[in-house]
Amino acid sequence: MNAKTMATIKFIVAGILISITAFWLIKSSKPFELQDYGVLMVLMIVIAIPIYSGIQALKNARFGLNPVDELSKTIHVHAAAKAFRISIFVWLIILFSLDFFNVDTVNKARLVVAIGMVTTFFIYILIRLYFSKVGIFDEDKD
Amino acid sequence: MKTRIKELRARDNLTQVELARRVGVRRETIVFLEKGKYNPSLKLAHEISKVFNSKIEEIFLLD
Repeated sequence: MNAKTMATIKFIVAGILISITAFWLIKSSKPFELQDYGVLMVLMIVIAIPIYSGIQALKNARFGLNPVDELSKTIHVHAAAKAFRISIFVWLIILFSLDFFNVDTVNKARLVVAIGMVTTFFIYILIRLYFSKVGIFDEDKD
Repeated sequence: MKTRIKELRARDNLTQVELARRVGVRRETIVFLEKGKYNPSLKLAHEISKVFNSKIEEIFLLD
């Protein structure tokens, strides 16, 4: 897949997410609560990621460079592995910490899944950003 | 790992973008290679050695 196609796909994904967010904002009749602002903030970050990586892909396309190379693949694999490892503990912490709140079983299950997924996603993004800035130079000690 | 990529690039008047294009990677990968912050695959090391017409061990130096 060339850089322009990849950038186009990312911008389409961002566009779909923006449309869904706009639809939700327009259609929501009740006033926003704290958790709604939280969801909105998460959506903004999720929208920003494909836009940012789309711009990066376009920059590479302008210079005729490959947008995905062995370093980006290595970073992706390392970040995913670390996020998975950390997420196991995060799921456990969420599971036990919800016992301190007055939440019924069904909502507890929903909250565990929702918070766990979002947290794992953000851990992955943060680790990926870290490796993108620092590099992977000491793989033997990892 | 230390590399002589920056030195050899200067010798051959190559920019990071030009080298990246020739070996099929992003410019960021060349930046990390020059700083010694990424150990390349054997394939990439071979591609780079071909560009500079040098042996791999003359470009990539183990500490």
